[in-house]
Amino acid sequence: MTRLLAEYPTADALVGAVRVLRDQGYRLEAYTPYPVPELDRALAAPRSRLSYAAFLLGIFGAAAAYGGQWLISAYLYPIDVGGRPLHFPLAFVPITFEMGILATALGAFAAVLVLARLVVLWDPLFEVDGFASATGTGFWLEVRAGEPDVDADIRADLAATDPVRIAEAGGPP
Amino acid sequence: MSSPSPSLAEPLTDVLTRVEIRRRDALKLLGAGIALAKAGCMQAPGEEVLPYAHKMPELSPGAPLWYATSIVLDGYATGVVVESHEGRPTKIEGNPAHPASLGGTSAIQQASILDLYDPDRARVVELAGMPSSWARLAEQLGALPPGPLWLVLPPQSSPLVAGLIARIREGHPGTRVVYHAPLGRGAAYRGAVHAFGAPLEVQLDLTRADVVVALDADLLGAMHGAVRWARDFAARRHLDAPTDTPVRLYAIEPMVTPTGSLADHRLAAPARDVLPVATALLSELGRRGRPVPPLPPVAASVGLPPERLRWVRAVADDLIAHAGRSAVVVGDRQPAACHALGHWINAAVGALGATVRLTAAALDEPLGDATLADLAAAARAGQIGTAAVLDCNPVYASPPALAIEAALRAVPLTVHATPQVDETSRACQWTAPLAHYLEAWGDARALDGTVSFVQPLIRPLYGSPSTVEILAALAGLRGKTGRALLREPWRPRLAAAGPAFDQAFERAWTAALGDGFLAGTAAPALPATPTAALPAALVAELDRVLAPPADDRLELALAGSPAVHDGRFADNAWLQELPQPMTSLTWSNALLVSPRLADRLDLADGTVVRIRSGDRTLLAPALRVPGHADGSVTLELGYGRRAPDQPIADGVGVDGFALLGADGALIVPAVDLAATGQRRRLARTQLELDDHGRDLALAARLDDYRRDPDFTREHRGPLPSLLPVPERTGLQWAMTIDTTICTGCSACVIACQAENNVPVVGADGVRRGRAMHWLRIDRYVARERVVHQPMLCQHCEMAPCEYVCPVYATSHSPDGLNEMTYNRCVGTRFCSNNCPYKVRRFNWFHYNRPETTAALQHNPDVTVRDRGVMEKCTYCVQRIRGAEIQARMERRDVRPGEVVTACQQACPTGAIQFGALGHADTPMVKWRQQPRAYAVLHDLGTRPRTMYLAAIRNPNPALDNDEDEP
Amino acid sequence: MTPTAAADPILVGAPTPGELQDQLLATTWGQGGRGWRIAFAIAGALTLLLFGCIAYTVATGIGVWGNNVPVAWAFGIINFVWWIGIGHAGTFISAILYLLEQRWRTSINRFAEAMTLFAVIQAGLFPLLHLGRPWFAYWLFPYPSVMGVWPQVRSALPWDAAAITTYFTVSLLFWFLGLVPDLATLRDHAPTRRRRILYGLLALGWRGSATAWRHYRAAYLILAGIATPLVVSVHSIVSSDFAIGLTPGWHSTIFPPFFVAGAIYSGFAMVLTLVIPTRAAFRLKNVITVRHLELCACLLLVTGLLVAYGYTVEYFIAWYSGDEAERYQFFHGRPFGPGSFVFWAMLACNILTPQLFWSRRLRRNVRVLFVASILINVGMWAERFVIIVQSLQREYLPSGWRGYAPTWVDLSILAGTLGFFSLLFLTFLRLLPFVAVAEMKELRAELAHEDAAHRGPA
Repeated sequence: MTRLLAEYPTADALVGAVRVLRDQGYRLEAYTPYPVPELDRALAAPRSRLSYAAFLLGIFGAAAAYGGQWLISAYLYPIDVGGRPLHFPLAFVPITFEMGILATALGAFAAVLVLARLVVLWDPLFEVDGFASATGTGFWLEVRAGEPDVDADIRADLAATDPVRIAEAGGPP
Repeated sequence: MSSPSPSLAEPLTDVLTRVEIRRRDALKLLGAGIALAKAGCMQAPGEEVLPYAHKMPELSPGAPLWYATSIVLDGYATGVVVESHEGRPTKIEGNPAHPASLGGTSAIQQASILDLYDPDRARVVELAGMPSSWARLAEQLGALPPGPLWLVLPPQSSPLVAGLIARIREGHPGTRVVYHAPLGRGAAYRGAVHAFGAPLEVQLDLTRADVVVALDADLLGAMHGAVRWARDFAARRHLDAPTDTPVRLYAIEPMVTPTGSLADHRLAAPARDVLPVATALLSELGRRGRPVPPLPPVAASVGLPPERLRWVRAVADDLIAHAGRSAVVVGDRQPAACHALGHWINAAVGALGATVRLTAAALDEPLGDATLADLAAAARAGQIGTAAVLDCNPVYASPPALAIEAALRAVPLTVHATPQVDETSRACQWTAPLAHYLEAWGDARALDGTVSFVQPLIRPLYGSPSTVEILAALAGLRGKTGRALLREPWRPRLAAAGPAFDQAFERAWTAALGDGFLAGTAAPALPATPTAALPAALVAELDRVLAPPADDRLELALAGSPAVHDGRFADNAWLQELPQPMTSLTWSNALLVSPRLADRLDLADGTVVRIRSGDRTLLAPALRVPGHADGSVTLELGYGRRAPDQPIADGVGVDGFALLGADGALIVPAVDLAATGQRRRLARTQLELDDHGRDLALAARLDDYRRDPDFTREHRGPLPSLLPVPERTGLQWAMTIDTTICTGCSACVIACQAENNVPVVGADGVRRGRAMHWLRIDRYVARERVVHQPMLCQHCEMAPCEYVCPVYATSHSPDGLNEMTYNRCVGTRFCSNNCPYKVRRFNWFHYNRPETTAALQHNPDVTVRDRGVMEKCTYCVQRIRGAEIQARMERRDVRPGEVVTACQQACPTGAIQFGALGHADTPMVKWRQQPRAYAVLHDLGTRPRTMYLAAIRNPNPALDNDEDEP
Repeated sequence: MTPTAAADPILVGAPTPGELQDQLLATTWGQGGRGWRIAFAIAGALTLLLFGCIAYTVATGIGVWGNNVPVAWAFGIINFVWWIGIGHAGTFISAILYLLEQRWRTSINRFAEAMTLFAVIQAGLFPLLHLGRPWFAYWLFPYPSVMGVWPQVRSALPWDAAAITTYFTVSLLFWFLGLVPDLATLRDHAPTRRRRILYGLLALGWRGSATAWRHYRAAYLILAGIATPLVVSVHSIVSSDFAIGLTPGWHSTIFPPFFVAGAIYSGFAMVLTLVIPTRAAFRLKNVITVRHLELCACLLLVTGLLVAYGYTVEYFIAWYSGDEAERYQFFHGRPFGPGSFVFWAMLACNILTPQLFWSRRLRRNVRVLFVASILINVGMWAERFVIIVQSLQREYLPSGWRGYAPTWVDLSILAGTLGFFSLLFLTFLRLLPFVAVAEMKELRAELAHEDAAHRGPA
């Protein structure tokens, strides 16, 4: 299959093109140098569920930290320090909290790497002339065509949104 | 070094060969030394020595043995028991059966063990700086050059030495003996001659005293016999209940001594004003109808200032009120006249035969034979053939006017036998290393005359001869060991002649060495009464000394140092770093001045003062001492040594002997002070003597205590707490300390150091606040009243140090000990920050130096701490565990009083009591149930296991009205 | 949102995205100026001094520092708390201001986050260094040891270990995540192949797809969300190193909020100290405008007042508690005891200095701001000296009272950390865009929109 790309001068132009092409039932993806909120609405993208992963990991981290503290202070090696209780919830709070935070952060970071398909060394898009502007000043739109023979129609529809240029990229890696 | 005199000149080759020999020996010695250091133990003495009879277990590796021997200082013996690990002596304890100790020890006695292993000890016999041998010296001593022989040695009470000196006198007619002791008691004996016509010894029985008056007498601290007297005094001073009436103590003295700090009424006065006070006291007694001799007219001329007169009158009344149960004690440095009057005062209040007994003096020739001055004169006149200086350092410790060094150089043959190469060695041709008392055989008498034995615990590390062996060589007894020399005279005395004589003697000998002394050999009390009239000599002396001083110039009172005595212990690092009672000064002496005088002369602590007495001057740093007399300044002797071979002692402090008059009197009547620009940073462990109104060291007057026994109520008992109170079962260790009887003598500090391998940090370390003592003695001075508070780990049940340690390096044992796990410590020092008592000590550097011989003293039962870890008092946990193991082996529980901590064992007054809370009938428990018991910083809720008993004073109502709460 | 329309702009002029990008990336492409090289040399020398002193201390013993008993903690812990405090401004700006949608944060947050990281690195040195046996520092972490002994978590020091570790990790992630789009930009516009590869690897293959941006923003929001309580917790825990102790002057419940306020206070001071020379040196006055500086000054004023409040409450409680040791500590020990000049310096720097910022003219005077920021940094260091050293100098038993004097090693290590911090910071300035490029573009776009909206009806 082929991936057709079109570059637009501004975010507004891109958003406009997206609206048009979605109505025509294309599967779209956009590339922008900075987040464009309208784009998500135009693409009708679902909310990111990344936060659930982070939350679960955070809870787990905190629980593990508290359990661990109980384990080493009250169970594995109970030592009398200054007559303080072996299981001393008040004193366990800070580490529990910190570990919860740490786990959440690591979770969120790991999740974004996975969901945003990061840590890739190469992508066909990098081979597209001028695509570098996607991280600079350009706004790009990708149309994924199902059948090669409808290719022409797509080009026509794209051209109708008067992009700066149209390019073609290989299939996804 | 003096060049050898012509008579000793010899071919160089000889010297060289001898050097060869010495070098080989030296190598052997070195090898041995290494072997010892490696194995941590050394061969048992080749000769039989006998263990302490009552404590002797079978010798089993790891189990220490205890041997009885005696420490002799200035001629007076104190029985001690020495702990020995596989033949390596490590710790000195008092001999509970010995009358001069009763189990207690002084700081100096505790520290004497370190001298045995001092790396700076003299090791080689030297002639004119060239290595020689003991054999050659003995040879030389056997063949003396023409001319009389002079011996210089410390005062002697040894029957053996007396015998040897007699033989020497036979062999060498015209032999003179100088008994050299800068802090000697000649005046006391001359005073006795005034009163009784004979140099009698005063024996105090403080257990029967209700009132004691100390006339410049530190009878609880520095005086010979203080260890015993402190125990007796404490027995009468400690209260079990408010109804008890403790002994009342009066003191008059310039510098605050341990005795003065305990006194109920302390009169701060220059030492020269003590005699007038004694005179006034005697005449007051006469005015009250007591039998006193007629006093010379000069006595009447004594005009005392009103407040002193008031003091004297109150004392007189009190002495009479307790006639027969009171005593007056005169200090050694006071003139003979004062001692004499003291005897008449005691006679007048019926003390003689009751609280004061008189016996024959323990010393041989107590009045001496010749003096250093005679020696100097004779030497200059070329009338001395040989001078043998044994175990003393007259070149340093003598009046500069005598020029002893020059005198000795003028003598054809001079021999110096000394533990360390010192000032005198440099003036003598021969230098012989002298055996430490733990390496030597001998005998001596205690103050009360009890014969005590000195037996070695170890073969001389450097093959050094003992004083006895050197005297024997002079007496022509060659090749006899110290043991043989000692046994010979005692054979007839220990056993009756007869068929089974040998067995009988051996049995008696065994028992005697086992006990360390011969029971029942104390000198019998003599029915002595002073003459009815003052002898002419005394009157003359009174006329001379009682004449009021021309002007009110400052007096300089010289005193022995509580740490280094007359300088003979100056190379002992423990004693150098011992915080001095009252000043907490270490690694130096200082000119001690009263705050008022300091303000007048504008002296701050450390300001260097030029002291001028006649044509002699000395620069010394000043130090303010609250309670010091205004008309007097005090300088402690024994510092300012000039001994390059004693690196620890050399150049530390200033040399008070430089100001000593030719007569050697320690009270220098008139000196001038002038502040110089310089400033010296003194190394002190406690900088703040004021308690800032905080109730830390509680004290009360007896009547207040009786009125309100519960006055410490806010400083004990349960406190509300959010945390559950820990429940700990089984033996629970604890300590109780009675500040009423703590004299601050600091024996416990050294005992702790010796027992627990506590390192020294040096003067700079102390200045930076890094002293390592596990046990320190805090002093708080309020209105010139001192309370000593031994401060050590309080072993809090809710220890604040423990819960802040991130690695469990300090935690609580089930039996209530606050434990340090050195190996686990990473050194965050949070525990020290969080310890409100500041008793934790940190190893800032690698203090422990295993490569020196001093490491041989280490107690193998106590971990030697490494750099970077925290340490502190453990309640001598090694002793606790030792006792528990013993008990387990014998299938029994630990007995009450079985565990004794090092500080408790050393304490002369028994102010420190340790034990288990469960053992209800021990003093430790009974004491803490007294109403005056309290915990320091109780309101912090740390629940310390160490409790204190408030200091109770027993002031005389007649003098007390103007005094406010102490 | 701050009414930017009323005040001066947070982005001067209307640069095209291209111009903006070129300007912001120029700092990474261009050669460091002479001033930069000199600064770098000095920082390098001080860094060498630092590591020299560390080696000396570890080899000889912590005794080469001035610490003693009772003052068992001194420069080491002072520096630790001071550096940690400085770190806080970074997280405050990037997280809290982000949640509050303070747009002006955009041009300084990257910068402040880097400052946080480097400050925390300095701080992290000291908990190790001040130990008697630093080579056993790992005993503070729960590793399975043969002895089966674990850390003692009732102590505040393991809390510290956890807090510092977490704080550093989260700050690093936050900072790096923010960098990723810019790294991609650098990758795609790198002049040389070497840089292209370097930045390419760091960019993790970022392509800027709408999907990526969606998750990216979610993750960024979460990190900001948790960094906010984190920044508050870290200095609260640091404060408990003292608050859980019973030393007079430490045992106080006001410490956590008091420490947090102080931290942010010193942090913003340090931001100003760094940003003022930088914006001049790299000609970014249009991006980091006087308005930014003024807003920082306002925050200095607010946090400064909070700190002043903290001092007041400390004194009130000391008096109100009736505890004689507490009272002595605050009314004699600190103002008149040894080292009291530090106490007075603290009051002058921390209380008086920020009062300048009541005046709008002074708030906007760059020179005044720069000097004031340095004074406040000094003042906050003095505060830690007062809390730690002066408290320990005067505790419960007068017999244990003793003063404190630092050694040359103490002073060298303090100077050394300043050098090491500068070294890292100077490197950062040349290696990465210290103003967030993507966010600036976004901001520019938003501003453009607003302008349009304003002009629309007119």
